[in-house]
Amino acid sequence: MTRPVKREPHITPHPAAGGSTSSSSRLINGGAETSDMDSREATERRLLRSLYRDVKRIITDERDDVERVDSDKFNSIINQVEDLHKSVQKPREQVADAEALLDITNSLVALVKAHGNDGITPSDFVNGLLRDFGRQDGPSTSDESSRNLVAWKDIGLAVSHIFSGCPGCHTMVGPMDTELKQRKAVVGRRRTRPTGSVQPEEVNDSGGKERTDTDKNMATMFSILKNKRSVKLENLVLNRKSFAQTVENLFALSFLVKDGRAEIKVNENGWHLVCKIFINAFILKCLLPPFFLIV
Amino acid sequence: MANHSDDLPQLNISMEEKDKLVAEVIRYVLFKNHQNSGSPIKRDELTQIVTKNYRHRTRPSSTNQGRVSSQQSAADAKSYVLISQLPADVYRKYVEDVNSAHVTGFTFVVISVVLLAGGKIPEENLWHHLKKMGLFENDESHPALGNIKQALETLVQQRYLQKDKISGPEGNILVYELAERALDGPVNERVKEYISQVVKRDVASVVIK
Repeated sequence: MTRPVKREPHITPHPAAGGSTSSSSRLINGGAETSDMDSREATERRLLRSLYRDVKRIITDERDDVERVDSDKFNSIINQVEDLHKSVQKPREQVADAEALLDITNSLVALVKAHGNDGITPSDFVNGLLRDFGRQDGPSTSDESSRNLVAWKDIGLAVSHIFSGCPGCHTMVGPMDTELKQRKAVVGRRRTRPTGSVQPEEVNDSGGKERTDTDKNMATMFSILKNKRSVKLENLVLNRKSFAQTVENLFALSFLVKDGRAEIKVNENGWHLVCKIFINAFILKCLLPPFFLIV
Repeated sequence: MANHSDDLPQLNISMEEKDKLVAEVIRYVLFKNHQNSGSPIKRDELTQIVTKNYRHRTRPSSTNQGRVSSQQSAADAKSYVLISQLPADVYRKYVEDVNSAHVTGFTFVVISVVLLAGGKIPEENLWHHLKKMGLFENDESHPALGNIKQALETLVQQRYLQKDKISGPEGNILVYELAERALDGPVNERVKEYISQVVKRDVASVVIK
Protein backbone atom coordinates (compact mmCIF):
# COMPACT_ATOMS: atom_id res chain seq x y z
CA MET A 1 0.00 0.00 0.00
CA THR A 2 1.51 3.35 -1.04
CA ARG A 3 0.38 6.74 0.11
CA PRO A 4 0.66 9.98 -2.00
CA VAL A 5 3.20 12.49 -0.71
CA LYS A 6 1.51 15.27 1.23
CA ARG A 7 2.54 18.79 0.20
CA GLU A 8 1.62 22.14 1.74
CA PRO A 9 -1.19 23.84 -0.32
CA HIS A 10 0.01 26.96 -2.17
CA ILE A 11 -1.65 30.06 -0.69
CA THR A 12 -1.89 33.06 -3.04
CA PRO A 13 -1.32 36.47 -1.36
CA HIS A 14 -4.41 38.59 -0.88
CA PRO A 15 -4.50 41.50 -3.42
CA ALA A 16 -4.09 44.57 -1.21
CA ALA A 17 -4.34 48.13 -2.58
CA GLY A 18 -2.88 50.98 -0.58
CA GLY A 19 -4.19 54.60 -0.21
CA SER A 20 -7.92 54.71 -1.02
CA THR A 21 -10.55 54.20 1.63
CA SER A 22 -12.45 51.61 -0.31
CA SER A 23 -9.35 49.48 -0.76
CA SER A 24 -8.48 49.74 2.96
CA SER A 25 -11.99 48.64 3.89
CA ARG A 26 -11.61 45.75 1.44
CA LEU A 27 -8.32 44.94 3.23
CA ILE A 28 -10.01 44.93 6.67
CA ASN A 29 -12.85 42.72 5.42
CA GLY A 30 -10.31 40.37 3.84
CA GLY A 31 -8.39 40.17 7.14
CA ALA A 32 -11.53 39.25 9.03
CA GLU A 33 -12.35 36.52 6.53
CA THR A 34 -8.82 35.13 6.84
CA SER A 35 -9.04 34.97 10.62
CA ASP A 36 -12.39 33.16 10.38
CA MET A 37 -10.84 30.62 8.04
CA ASP A 38 -7.83 30.15 10.35
CA SER A 39 -9.99 29.47 13.38
CA ARG A 40 -12.17 27.01 11.40
CA GLU A 41 -9.05 25.25 10.18
CA ALA A 42 -7.62 25.04 13.70
CA THR A 43 -10.89 23.54 14.96
CA GLU A 44 -10.87 20.93 12.21
CA ARG A 45 -7.27 20.02 12.91
CA ARG A 46 -8.03 19.70 16.62
CA LEU A 47 -10.94 17.40 15.82
CA LEU A 48 -8.73 15.29 13.55
CA ARG A 49 -6.10 14.84 16.28
CA SER A 50 -8.84 13.88 18.71
CA LEU A 51 -10.07 11.20 16.31
CA TYR A 52 -6.54 9.83 15.99
CA ARG A 53 -6.31 9.63 19.80
CA ASP A 54 -9.55 7.65 19.86
CA VAL A 55 -8.13 5.20 17.35
CA LYS A 56 -4.97 4.76 19.41
CA ARG A 57 -7.08 4.13 22.50
CA ILE A 58 -9.05 1.45 20.65
CA ILE A 59 -5.82 -0.21 19.51
CA THR A 60 -4.56 -0.30 23.14
CA ASP A 61 -7.77 -1.29 24.89
CA GLU A 62 -8.93 -3.86 22.41
CA ARG A 63 -5.48 -5.26 21.73
CA ASP A 64 -6.66 -8.78 22.39
CA ASP A 65 -9.33 -8.58 19.70
CA VAL A 66 -6.89 -6.99 17.27
CA GLU A 67 -4.36 -9.80 17.80
CA ARG A 68 -6.87 -12.55 17.10
CA VAL A 69 -6.52 -14.16 13.70
CA ASP A 70 -10.23 -14.40 13.07
CA SER A 71 -11.04 -10.86 14.15
CA ASP A 72 -12.35 -8.05 11.96
CA LYS A 73 -11.16 -5.46 14.40
CA PHE A 74 -7.83 -5.04 12.63
CA ASN A 75 -9.53 -4.32 9.28
CA SER A 76 -11.94 -1.81 10.75
CA ILE A 77 -9.13 0.04 12.53
CA ILE A 78 -6.89 0.19 9.47
CA ASN A 79 -9.79 1.48 7.35
CA GLN A 80 -10.54 4.12 9.96
CA VAL A 81 -6.93 5.29 9.95
CA GLU A 82 -6.92 5.40 6.16
CA ASP A 83 -10.00 7.66 6.17
CA LEU A 84 -8.45 9.99 8.71
CA HIS A 85 -5.23 10.11 6.70
CA LYS A 86 -7.06 11.78 3.78
CA SER A 87 -7.69 14.84 5.96
CA VAL A 88 -4.11 15.19 7.14
CA GLN A 89 -2.36 18.33 5.94
CA LYS A 90 -0.12 19.66 8.70
CA PRO A 91 2.90 18.06 10.47
CA ARG A 92 1.16 17.62 13.84
CA GLU A 93 -1.53 15.47 12.29
CA GLN A 94 1.12 13.60 10.31
CA VAL A 95 2.83 12.69 13.59
CA ALA A 96 -0.48 11.42 15.03
CA ASP A 97 -1.03 9.38 11.86
CA ALA A 98 2.45 7.86 12.09
CA GLU A 99 1.95 6.97 15.76
CA ALA A 100 -1.34 5.21 14.99
CA LEU A 101 0.39 3.22 12.26
CA LEU A 102 3.18 2.31 14.69
CA ASP A 103 0.66 0.97 17.22
CA ILE A 104 -1.05 -1.13 14.58
CA THR A 105 2.32 -2.46 13.43
CA ASN A 106 3.23 -3.49 16.97
CA SER A 107 -0.05 -5.38 17.23
CA LEU A 108 0.75 -7.14 13.96
CA VAL A 109 4.20 -8.11 15.23
CA ALA A 110 2.61 -9.63 18.35
CA LEU A 111 0.19 -11.54 16.10
CA VAL A 112 3.04 -12.93 14.00
CA LYS A 113 4.95 -13.96 17.12
CA ALA A 114 1.86 -15.81 18.31
CA HIS A 115 1.96 -17.86 15.15
CA GLY A 116 5.30 -19.20 16.38
CA ASN A 117 3.49 -20.56 19.44
CA ASP A 118 0.90 -22.54 17.49
CA GLY A 119 -1.24 -19.44 17.32
CA ILE A 120 -1.54 -19.15 21.10
CA THR A 121 -1.50 -15.58 22.31
CA PRO A 122 -0.95 -14.45 25.89
CA SER A 123 -4.63 -13.51 26.00
CA ASP A 124 -5.66 -17.06 25.05
CA PHE A 125 -3.47 -18.39 27.81
CA VAL A 126 -4.85 -15.98 30.42
CA ASN A 127 -8.42 -16.83 29.41
CA GLY A 128 -7.60 -20.53 29.78
CA LEU A 129 -6.17 -19.94 33.26
CA LEU A 130 -9.23 -17.98 34.34
CA ARG A 131 -11.44 -20.75 33.07
CA ASP A 132 -9.51 -23.56 34.81
CA PHE A 133 -8.31 -21.82 37.99
CA GLY A 134 -10.63 -18.85 38.33
CA ARG A 135 -12.37 -18.37 41.67
CA GLN A 136 -16.13 -18.58 41.69
CA ASP A 137 -16.77 -16.54 44.84
CA GLY A 138 -19.82 -14.77 43.51
CA PRO A 139 -20.18 -11.32 41.99
CA SER A 140 -16.97 -9.34 42.15
CA THR A 141 -18.31 -6.18 43.68
CA SER A 142 -15.80 -5.77 46.48
CA ASP A 143 -12.18 -4.72 46.03
CA GLU A 144 -11.00 -7.94 47.71
CA SER A 145 -12.80 -10.24 45.27
CA SER A 146 -11.61 -8.23 42.26
CA ARG A 147 -8.00 -9.04 43.22
CA ASN A 148 -8.60 -12.65 44.20
CA LEU A 149 -9.64 -13.94 40.79
CA VAL A 150 -7.22 -16.85 40.45
CA ALA A 151 -6.36 -19.81 42.68
CA TRP A 152 -2.59 -19.29 42.60
CA LYS A 153 -1.93 -22.16 44.96
CA ASP A 154 -3.73 -24.63 42.67
CA ILE A 155 -1.70 -23.44 39.70
CA GLY A 156 1.49 -23.85 41.71
CA LEU A 157 0.63 -27.39 42.75
CA ALA A 158 -0.14 -28.29 39.15
CA VAL A 159 3.17 -26.96 37.79
CA SER A 160 5.56 -27.70 40.67
CA HIS A 161 7.27 -30.43 38.63
CA ILE A 162 8.30 -27.86 36.01
CA PHE A 163 10.72 -25.95 38.24
CA SER A 164 11.53 -28.67 40.84
CA GLY A 165 12.93 -26.15 43.26
CA CYS A 166 14.53 -27.20 46.54
CA PRO A 167 13.18 -25.71 49.75
CA GLY A 168 16.60 -25.60 51.49
CA CYS A 169 17.11 -25.47 55.25
CA HIS A 170 16.66 -22.78 57.80
CA THR A 171 17.44 -22.43 61.46
CA MET A 172 14.93 -21.49 64.08
CA VAL A 173 17.07 -18.82 65.67
CA GLY A 174 18.58 -17.19 62.64
CA PRO A 175 22.13 -16.73 61.32
CA MET A 176 24.85 -18.32 63.43
CA ASP A 177 27.16 -15.30 63.22
CA THR A 178 24.80 -13.01 65.05
CA GLU A 179 26.59 -11.36 67.95
CA LEU A 180 25.00 -10.56 71.24
CA LYS A 181 24.36 -6.86 71.47
CA GLN A 182 25.90 -5.32 74.52
CA ARG A 183 23.48 -3.38 76.59
CA LYS A 184 24.31 0.25 76.75
CA ALA A 185 25.01 1.55 80.22
CA VAL A 186 22.11 3.65 81.31
CA VAL A 187 23.21 7.21 81.72
CA GLY A 188 20.99 9.22 83.93
CA ARG A 189 19.92 12.36 82.29
CA ARG A 190 19.98 15.44 84.36
CA ARG A 191 16.48 16.62 84.41
CA THR A 192 16.18 20.33 84.33
CA ARG A 193 12.98 21.87 85.45
CA PRO A 194 11.19 23.62 82.68
CA THR A 195 10.63 26.60 84.89
CA GLY A 196 13.16 28.40 87.06
CA SER A 197 13.05 27.60 90.69
CA VAL A 198 11.94 30.39 92.94
CA GLN A 199 13.06 30.62 96.48
CA PRO A 200 11.01 32.86 98.63
CA GLU A 201 12.96 35.54 100.43
CA GLU A 202 13.92 34.66 103.91
CA VAL A 203 12.18 36.86 106.40
CA ASN A 204 14.64 38.55 108.70
CA ASP A 205 13.63 36.99 112.02
CA SER A 206 14.76 39.86 114.31
CA GLY A 207 12.31 38.82 117.02
CA GLY A 208 14.19 35.65 117.62
CA LYS A 209 17.47 37.46 117.88
CA GLU A 210 15.94 39.89 120.38
CA ARG A 211 14.60 37.02 122.38
CA THR A 212 18.03 35.49 122.41
CA ASP A 213 19.43 38.74 123.72
CA THR A 214 16.57 38.94 126.14
CA ASP A 215 17.36 35.46 127.32
CA LYS A 216 20.91 36.48 127.92
CA ASN A 217 19.77 39.51 129.78
CA MET A 218 17.39 37.39 131.82
CA ALA A 219 20.13 34.93 132.64
CA THR A 220 22.49 37.77 133.68
CA MET A 221 19.82 39.40 135.76
CA PHE A 222 18.87 36.18 137.45
CA SER A 223 22.49 35.39 138.32
CA ILE A 224 22.74 38.85 139.91
CA LEU A 225 19.60 38.12 141.91
CA LYS A 226 21.07 34.79 142.99
CA ASN A 227 24.13 36.51 144.37
CA LYS A 228 22.27 39.29 146.09
CA ARG A 229 19.00 38.37 147.75
CA SER A 230 17.34 41.63 146.90
CA VAL A 231 18.37 44.44 144.69
CA LYS A 232 17.01 47.90 144.25
CA LEU A 233 14.97 48.17 141.09
CA GLU A 234 16.74 51.29 139.84
CA ASN A 235 20.15 49.72 140.40
CA LEU A 236 19.19 46.60 138.52
CA VAL A 237 17.48 48.22 135.59
CA LEU A 238 18.71 51.76 135.07
CA ASN A 239 21.60 52.62 132.75
CA ARG A 240 22.10 56.35 133.02
CA LYS A 241 24.16 56.44 129.82
CA SER A 242 21.83 54.35 127.61
CA PHE A 243 18.09 54.60 127.62
CA ALA A 244 17.84 51.68 125.22
CA GLN A 245 19.74 49.45 127.62
CA THR A 246 17.40 50.54 130.39
CA VAL A 247 14.38 49.52 128.37
CA GLU A 248 15.92 46.17 127.56
CA ASN A 249 16.75 45.54 131.21
CA LEU A 250 13.22 46.42 132.18
CA PHE A 251 11.97 44.08 129.45
CA ALA A 252 14.13 41.21 130.74
CA LEU A 253 12.97 41.84 134.30
CA SER A 254 9.38 41.76 133.19
CA PHE A 255 9.96 38.28 131.75
CA LEU A 256 11.53 37.12 134.97
CA VAL A 257 8.58 38.39 136.92
CA LYS A 258 6.15 36.83 134.46
CA ASP A 259 7.93 33.48 134.73
CA GLY A 260 7.76 33.76 138.48
CA ARG A 261 11.46 33.70 138.99
CA ALA A 262 11.68 37.17 140.51
CA GLU A 263 9.33 39.51 142.32
CA ILE A 264 9.20 43.25 142.87
CA LYS A 265 8.06 44.46 146.18
CA VAL A 266 8.10 47.77 148.05
CA ASN A 267 9.59 47.95 151.53
CA GLU A 268 8.64 50.29 154.39
CA ASN A 269 10.94 52.98 153.02
CA GLY A 270 9.17 52.99 149.66
CA TRP A 271 12.07 51.44 147.82
CA HIS A 272 11.32 49.06 144.99
CA LEU A 273 13.23 45.85 145.62
CA VAL A 274 13.67 42.95 143.27
CA CYS A 275 14.09 39.57 144.85
CA LYS A 276 14.68 36.16 143.46
CA ILE A 277 11.88 33.64 144.06
CA PHE A 278 12.89 30.15 144.98
CA ILE A 279 11.24 27.53 142.81
CA ASN A 280 9.84 25.50 145.70
CA ALA A 281 8.45 28.62 147.26
CA PHE A 282 6.91 29.53 143.90
CA ILE A 283 5.22 26.16 143.51
CA LEU A 284 3.87 26.20 147.06
CA LYS A 285 2.72 29.69 146.56
CA CYS A 286 0.72 28.56 143.59
CA LEU A 287 -0.64 25.43 145.31
CA LEU A 288 -1.30 26.66 148.85
CA PRO A 289 -4.01 29.13 149.83
CA PRO A 290 -2.94 32.75 149.52
CA PHE A 291 -2.66 33.38 153.36
CA PHE A 292 0.35 31.04 153.56
CA LEU A 293 3.50 32.85 152.45
CA ILE A 294 6.90 31.29 152.63
CA VAL A 295 9.91 33.48 152.18
CA MET B 1 31.32 -33.27 38.17
CA ALA B 2 35.04 -33.69 37.50
CA ASN B 3 36.87 -36.14 39.68
CA HIS B 4 39.70 -34.35 41.43
CA SER B 5 40.72 -37.26 43.63
CA ASP B 6 43.95 -37.56 41.64
CA ASP B 7 44.95 -34.06 42.76
CA LEU B 8 44.30 -34.75 46.41
CA PRO B 9 47.65 -36.36 47.25
CA GLN B 10 49.49 -33.50 45.55
CA LEU B 11 47.51 -30.97 47.61
CA ASN B 12 48.02 -32.98 50.81
CA ILE B 13 44.31 -33.25 51.44
CA SER B 14 43.06 -36.45 52.91
CA MET B 15 39.74 -38.04 52.04
CA GLU B 16 38.36 -37.06 55.43
CA GLU B 17 39.38 -33.47 54.89
CA LYS B 18 37.77 -33.46 51.48
CA ASP B 19 34.53 -34.84 52.92
CA LYS B 20 34.57 -32.14 55.56
CA LEU B 21 34.98 -29.42 52.93
CA VAL B 22 32.19 -30.90 50.86
CA ALA B 23 29.94 -30.97 53.90
CA GLU B 24 30.65 -27.31 54.62
CA VAL B 25 29.89 -26.29 51.06
CA ILE B 26 26.66 -28.28 50.95
CA ARG B 27 25.55 -26.88 54.29
CA TYR B 28 26.23 -23.36 53.06
CA VAL B 29 24.31 -23.97 49.83
CA LEU B 30 21.27 -25.40 51.63
CA PHE B 31 20.96 -22.51 54.06
CA LYS B 32 21.81 -19.84 51.53
CA ASN B 33 19.22 -21.23 49.13
CA HIS B 34 16.51 -20.76 51.73
CA GLN B 35 17.79 -17.37 52.78
CA ASN B 36 17.89 -16.09 49.16
CA SER B 37 14.48 -17.57 48.25
CA GLY B 38 16.03 -19.66 45.51
CA SER B 39 18.23 -16.94 43.96
CA PRO B 40 21.50 -18.16 42.42
CA ILE B 41 24.52 -18.56 44.73
CA LYS B 42 27.79 -17.10 43.46
CA ARG B 43 30.71 -19.43 42.91
CA ASP B 44 33.00 -16.96 44.69
CA GLU B 45 31.16 -17.54 47.94
CA LEU B 46 31.62 -21.30 47.68
CA THR B 47 35.28 -20.95 46.72
CA GLN B 48 35.95 -18.89 49.81
CA ILE B 49 34.66 -21.67 52.03
CA VAL B 50 37.07 -24.13 50.47
CA THR B 51 40.13 -21.90 50.20
CA LYS B 52 39.94 -19.96 53.47
CA ASN B 53 42.13 -22.54 55.20
CA TYR B 54 44.30 -23.37 52.20
CA ARG B 55 45.64 -20.04 51.04
CA HIS B 56 49.25 -21.15 51.44
CA ARG B 57 48.69 -24.16 49.23
CA THR B 58 48.82 -23.85 45.44
CA ARG B 59 47.62 -26.10 42.67
CA PRO B 60 50.29 -28.08 40.74
CA SER B 61 51.90 -26.04 37.96
CA SER B 62 50.75 -26.58 34.40
CA THR B 63 52.20 -25.69 31.00
CA ASN B 64 48.88 -24.10 30.06
CA GLN B 65 48.69 -21.97 33.16
CA GLY B 66 47.50 -18.88 31.26
CA ARG B 67 44.56 -20.75 29.77
CA VAL B 68 43.73 -22.25 33.14
CA SER B 69 43.63 -18.86 34.85
CA SER B 70 41.37 -17.35 32.18
CA GLN B 71 39.07 -20.34 32.38
CA GLN B 72 39.09 -20.05 36.13
CA SER B 73 38.11 -16.37 36.04
CA ALA B 74 35.24 -17.24 33.69
CA ALA B 75 34.18 -20.03 36.03
CA ASP B 76 34.24 -17.64 38.98
CA ALA B 77 31.48 -15.61 37.32
CA LYS B 78 29.16 -18.60 37.50
CA SER B 79 26.43 -19.09 40.03
CA TYR B 80 24.52 -22.12 41.15
CA VAL B 81 20.92 -23.05 41.90
CA LEU B 82 19.46 -26.14 43.49
CA ILE B 83 17.16 -28.28 41.33
CA SER B 84 15.62 -31.49 42.45
CA GLN B 85 16.29 -34.53 40.29
CA LEU B 86 13.54 -36.62 41.80
CA PRO B 87 10.77 -37.99 39.58
CA ALA B 88 7.70 -35.76 39.42
CA ASP B 89 5.44 -38.03 41.46
CA VAL B 90 8.03 -38.53 44.21
CA TYR B 91 8.74 -34.79 44.24
CA ARG B 92 5.05 -33.99 44.58
CA LYS B 93 4.63 -36.46 47.40
CA TYR B 94 7.70 -35.75 49.53
CA VAL B 95 9.36 -32.46 48.57
CA GLU B 96 6.72 -30.09 47.29
CA ASP B 97 6.01 -27.22 49.68
CA VAL B 98 2.31 -26.43 49.73
CA ASN B 99 2.89 -23.18 51.59
CA SER B 100 4.89 -21.70 48.72
CA ALA B 101 2.83 -23.16 45.87
CA HIS B 102 1.21 -19.79 45.13
CA VAL B 103 4.63 -18.33 44.37
CA THR B 104 5.35 -21.19 41.97
CA GLY B 105 2.04 -20.51 40.26
CA PHE B 106 2.86 -16.84 39.83
CA THR B 107 6.29 -17.71 38.44
CA PHE B 108 4.79 -20.06 35.88
CA VAL B 109 2.13 -17.58 34.73
CA VAL B 110 4.57 -14.71 34.25
CA ILE B 111 7.11 -16.86 32.39
CA SER B 112 4.32 -18.20 30.16
CA VAL B 113 3.04 -14.74 29.27
CA VAL B 114 6.54 -13.54 28.38
CA LEU B 115 7.21 -16.72 26.40
CA LEU B 116 4.00 -16.36 24.40
CA ALA B 117 4.82 -12.72 23.69
CA GLY B 118 7.97 -13.89 21.89
CA GLY B 119 10.38 -14.07 24.81
CA LYS B 120 10.30 -10.32 25.38
CA ILE B 121 7.46 -8.06 26.47
CA PRO B 122 7.18 -4.37 27.38
CA GLU B 123 6.34 -3.77 31.02
CA GLU B 124 3.05 -2.09 30.11
CA ASN B 125 1.87 -5.13 28.13
CA LEU B 126 2.84 -7.51 30.92
CA TRP B 127 0.76 -5.55 33.45
CA HIS B 128 -2.11 -5.48 30.96
CA HIS B 129 -2.28 -9.28 31.09
CA LEU B 130 -1.66 -9.50 34.84
CA LYS B 131 -4.51 -7.07 35.50
CA LYS B 132 -6.94 -9.52 33.91
CA MET B 133 -6.00 -11.97 36.67
CA GLY B 134 -6.47 -9.43 39.46
CA LEU B 135 -2.81 -8.41 39.82
CA PHE B 136 -2.22 -4.66 39.83
CA GLU B 137 1.09 -2.82 39.73
CA ASN B 138 0.46 -0.71 42.80
CA ASP B 139 -1.07 -3.51 44.89
CA GLU B 140 1.06 -4.05 48.00
CA SER B 141 -1.31 -6.32 49.88
CA HIS B 142 -2.63 -8.95 47.53
CA PRO B 143 -4.36 -11.74 49.54
CA ALA B 144 -2.05 -14.45 48.15
CA LEU B 145 1.02 -12.73 46.71
CA GLY B 146 1.46 -9.61 48.83
CA ASN B 147 3.41 -6.89 47.04
CA ILE B 148 2.99 -7.75 43.36
CA LYS B 149 5.79 -5.50 42.16
CA GLN B 150 8.13 -7.08 44.70
CA ALA B 151 7.05 -10.55 43.59
CA LEU B 152 7.95 -9.64 40.01
CA GLU B 153 11.28 -8.24 41.14
CA THR B 154 12.00 -11.54 42.93
CA LEU B 155 11.65 -13.35 39.60
CA VAL B 156 14.37 -11.06 38.23
CA GLN B 157 16.63 -11.84 41.20
CA GLN B 158 16.01 -15.56 40.73
CA ARG B 159 17.07 -15.16 37.10
CA TYR B 160 13.80 -16.30 35.59
CA LEU B 161 13.45 -12.84 34.01
CA GLN B 162 15.76 -9.97 33.20
CA LYS B 163 14.96 -6.30 32.81
CA ASP B 164 16.21 -4.18 29.92
CA LYS B 165 15.76 -0.53 29.10
CA ILE B 166 15.08 0.29 25.46
CA SER B 167 14.96 3.81 24.12
CA GLY B 168 11.80 4.42 22.13
CA PRO B 169 10.11 7.36 20.41
CA GLU B 170 8.43 8.34 23.68
CA GLY B 171 11.45 7.88 25.94
CA ASN B 172 12.85 4.81 27.71
CA ILE B 173 10.70 1.68 27.88
CA LEU B 174 11.27 -1.14 30.37
CA VAL B 175 11.17 -4.57 28.79
CA TYR B 176 11.08 -7.97 30.51
CA GLU B 177 12.90 -10.83 28.84
CA LEU B 178 13.30 -14.51 29.68
CA ALA B 179 16.56 -15.17 31.57
CA GLU B 180 18.78 -18.23 32.00
CA ARG B 181 16.59 -20.28 34.28
CA ALA B 182 13.49 -19.84 32.10
CA LEU B 183 15.47 -20.57 28.93
CA ASP B 184 16.92 -23.75 30.41
CA GLY B 185 15.99 -26.63 28.08
CA PRO B 186 13.93 -28.91 30.32
CA VAL B 187 12.17 -26.01 32.06
CA ASN B 188 11.32 -24.31 28.76
CA GLU B 189 9.93 -27.49 27.27
CA ARG B 190 7.79 -28.29 30.29
CA VAL B 191 6.39 -24.74 30.35
CA LYS B 192 5.39 -24.95 26.69
CA GLU B 193 3.85 -28.34 27.26
CA TYR B 194 1.66 -27.15 30.11
CA ILE B 195 0.65 -24.00 28.22
CA SER B 196 -0.61 -26.20 25.41
CA GLN B 197 -2.58 -28.26 27.90
CA VAL B 198 -4.23 -25.17 29.36
CA VAL B 199 -5.16 -23.70 26.00
CA LYS B 200 -6.09 -26.92 24.24
CA ARG B 201 -8.46 -27.82 27.02
CA ASP B 202 -10.41 -24.76 25.91
CA VAL B 203 -10.23 -25.81 22.26
CA ALA B 204 -11.29 -29.34 23.10
CA SER B 205 -14.28 -28.11 25.09
CA VAL B 206 -15.32 -25.93 22.15
CA VAL B 207 -15.04 -28.87 19.73
CA ILE B 208 -17.13 -31.09 21.98
CA LYS B 209 -19.79 -28.42 22.13
